[in-house]
Amino acid sequence: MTARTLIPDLQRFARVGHTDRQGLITISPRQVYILPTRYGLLFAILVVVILIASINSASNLGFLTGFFLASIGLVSMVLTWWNLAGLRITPLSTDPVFAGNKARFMLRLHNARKRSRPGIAVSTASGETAASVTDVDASSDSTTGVMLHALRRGIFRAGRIRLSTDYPLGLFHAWCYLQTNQQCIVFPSPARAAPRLTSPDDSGTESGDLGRGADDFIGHRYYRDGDPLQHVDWKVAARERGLFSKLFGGDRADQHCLDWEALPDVGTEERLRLLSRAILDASEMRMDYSLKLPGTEIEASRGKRHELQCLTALALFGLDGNE
Amino acid sequence: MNERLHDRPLSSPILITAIALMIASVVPHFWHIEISVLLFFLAMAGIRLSLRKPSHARIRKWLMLPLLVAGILIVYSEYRLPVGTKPGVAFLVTLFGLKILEVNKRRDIYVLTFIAFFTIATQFLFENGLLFTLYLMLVMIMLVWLLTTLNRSEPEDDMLTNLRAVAAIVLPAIPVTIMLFYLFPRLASPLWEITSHERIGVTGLSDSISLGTISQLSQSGATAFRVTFNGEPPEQQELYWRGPVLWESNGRDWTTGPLLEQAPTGYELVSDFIEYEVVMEASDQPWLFALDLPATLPDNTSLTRDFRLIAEKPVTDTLQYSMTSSIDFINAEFSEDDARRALQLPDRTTARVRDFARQLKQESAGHEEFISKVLAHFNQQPYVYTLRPPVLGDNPVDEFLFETRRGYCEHYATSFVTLARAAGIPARIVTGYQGGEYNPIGNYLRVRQSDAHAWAEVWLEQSGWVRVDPTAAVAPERVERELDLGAIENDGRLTFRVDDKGLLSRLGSQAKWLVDSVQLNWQRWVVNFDQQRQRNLLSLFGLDRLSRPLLMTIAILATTLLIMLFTLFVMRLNRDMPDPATRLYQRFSGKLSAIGLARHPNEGPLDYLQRIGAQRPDLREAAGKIIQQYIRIRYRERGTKKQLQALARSVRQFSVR
Repeated sequence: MTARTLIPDLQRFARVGHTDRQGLITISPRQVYILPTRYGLLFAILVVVILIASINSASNLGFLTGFFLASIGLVSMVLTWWNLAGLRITPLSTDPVFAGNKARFMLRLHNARKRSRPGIAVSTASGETAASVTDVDASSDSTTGVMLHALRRGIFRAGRIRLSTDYPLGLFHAWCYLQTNQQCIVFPSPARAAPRLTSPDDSGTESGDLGRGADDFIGHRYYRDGDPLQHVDWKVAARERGLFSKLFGGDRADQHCLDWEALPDVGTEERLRLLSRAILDASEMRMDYSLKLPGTEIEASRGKRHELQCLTALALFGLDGNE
Repeated sequence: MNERLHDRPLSSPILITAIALMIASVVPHFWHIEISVLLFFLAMAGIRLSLRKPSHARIRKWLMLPLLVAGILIVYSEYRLPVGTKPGVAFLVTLFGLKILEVNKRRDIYVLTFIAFFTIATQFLFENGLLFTLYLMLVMIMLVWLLTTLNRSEPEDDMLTNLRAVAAIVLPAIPVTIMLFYLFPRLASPLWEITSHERIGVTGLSDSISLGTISQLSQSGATAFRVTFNGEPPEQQELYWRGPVLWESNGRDWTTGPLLEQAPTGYELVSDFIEYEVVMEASDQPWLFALDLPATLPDNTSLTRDFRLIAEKPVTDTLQYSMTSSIDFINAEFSEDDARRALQLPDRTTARVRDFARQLKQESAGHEEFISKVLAHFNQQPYVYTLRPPVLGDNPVDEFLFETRRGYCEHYATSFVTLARAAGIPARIVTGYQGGEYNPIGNYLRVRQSDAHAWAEVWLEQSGWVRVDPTAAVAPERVERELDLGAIENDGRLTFRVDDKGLLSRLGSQAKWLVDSVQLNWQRWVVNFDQQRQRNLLSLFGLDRLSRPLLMTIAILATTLLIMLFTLFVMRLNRDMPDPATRLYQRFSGKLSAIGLARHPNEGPLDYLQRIGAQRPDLREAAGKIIQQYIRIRYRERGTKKQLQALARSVRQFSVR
């Protein structure tokens, strides 16, 4: 009847810490559960054996040893509980991830006390992942969290988080549950190969090509770190006019439209994965691109923010906001 | 359970500290078990320490079995029989050593620590000294500290500072321990008997003397017993602690003869009672020591006809008992059997001795005068009191009286009794202790083995048995002052300690008294705390008529109460206070919530400011100032008092109107 076997049964009735208006969760003393660990039970047996032996040999110092150990155990029970009680937690915002990667639900633990709170473990309530353990120093903060496999695209909710500790002696296990309401946007995992996009909106350029490619020479610019060496205009350099890179224009559209409709019908999820790949590729090549999904259209643009917007649209596609 | 934490491999500092603590918990067994077992244990610890690299872990697997066999063989070869305390402890130490060899992860330390706690408990089967106990308590506290390090994420960071955390566990545990110790019901007898009981030799009086026994004892400064008087202690000259009474003699050795089972009758107490309490060291003998005539008896003891206090069992452990005695009494009863035994003269008593006794008797009017004449003889003739008397032959009394005239108390006592009996006066020898050193700090008397003494008792018509100390006749100072063993010169002549001690030696004896006094209280309140003492203690609180189960319940309830008090104390002491800056910031947000601008959860201060500015541009400046101040205190540096006061002022002045 140790802590481990009972936890699943108790969970339904568990008291759970919720966030307040400030976004803080404060663990009230009554939200902390505590049970002996198997070391605690072993320790209790040890104390009983010592006491019985002491009764029998009428050894007062044996009694003293036994009672000292018993007292240490009892005090450690209170301290284990108190190591969690009163802890404050700010759930931190979560970075989106691609499906198949690990979502990180981070918590900042605030210890307002003048004593440290060592050995605080964070895991999910169901306990499918190994806990990560941190020591929160006196009057300071510590950031910790759980990493969970994001299996499907969409919104990944953290569910109940479980904080626990065995400190100080490992004889007792105290734990509590938090409802952090953290969620993580999970993008569709990008397909391995980019799709061939044949969209009617694809248009050639009229005003010359400002995009960069490798086909036609379009001018010079000062050499920057990272420019390929074969593009350096060595003739100019030889004339000691400085180091210039040759720029080449590509023969392609300056605007890509990533259109759902333009994809072959390979199933919704597969199409989203293809688009995810296309967005990543387009971003990498610093192209402008727009995204067209049934019911959603995102204007052509570029940059991190745009990429995020597009990927989020993919992640949430077909989901009614509330899952 | 923090599986992950306990699955972590042990870092070197923790492993080394752990093994050092395990060794510390076992090492005092050096005095209790065979050295080979201890060496085996140390070898195992050494092997484990040398195997610090994980690549060596493989070797340990195939080492285990041969080592286990070796360990068992060592215990077997030293003890043969696996029963009894010592073989048991030896076996425990052997297994402990093998367990150390297996340590790999943090979780393994738990089992080791528990075995160490148990080993410490076994130490107390052999010894119970104060310093010994303090040492083992310290080891236990360090083991607690070891456990705390296992439940930290980064225990190596600050191993010494972690010691403070241990104080937070140990200090509250002390009152709980003390309470449990004194409330937990004590049994009068063990649950089951342990048959084999090994003891080391104990020095002390035996129930027979041959010349030389007591002078041997006088070399020992060991404590025989300690006495606390209720009220004024009697004069030193009256402190005759009676032990075995010797009736029978073959001329060389004196023995008690058959024990006089029946209780004494027909005596009359003359003086007031003296109440006192004795804490006696183990003597392995059944008799207890008391002043003259015991008026009350401790539990499980009886009084013989010759006023000897006999316990049911030999005193194999320190024993504590309360006594009431009367120093002056008249014992009128004298049976024929007593007379026969008190007049028995050894066959080998020489004519010279008999003649001398007869001559003295003829010169004296009565028994009293005869006794004075014998004492005067010792006093006036050149008798020497010495710790190194010459070796005497088959007729020691004769040789002592007429040839050597150098002897110790036993010489004088045996000679006196022989003379008295030869003169027809019933007499017997009493052995025991005389005097004792008074400890003014602890307010008690300490009687040492060197205070062992032998004197005589004679039976007189009018007053019954009367004590006569012939040694006092030759050296009266012997009764008044402690014999200073260091002052005995090579020729064996006795000199007495002079009184004008320097300041340093006075301080020295003060310290000595203090240490001894602490030891007595340790004996009395911890080592010998028994059912009787517990009853006395509880009666102070009016709890003396409690049944054992009720006392047990009280102990449990009191423990629960203490733990609850501790919980409340912890809650008060460590009440979480948001730091002052956060509190001020919350008040600021509270003011804004009146106009629907409460801070959202997760909203950073700058975002909040932006929102405030967007909705109430008129408040932007004031709110901006507060938020700047707050950020500076909260996120940049720990706020100085001045900055906090400034923030407090700003928040106070802030108004949404």
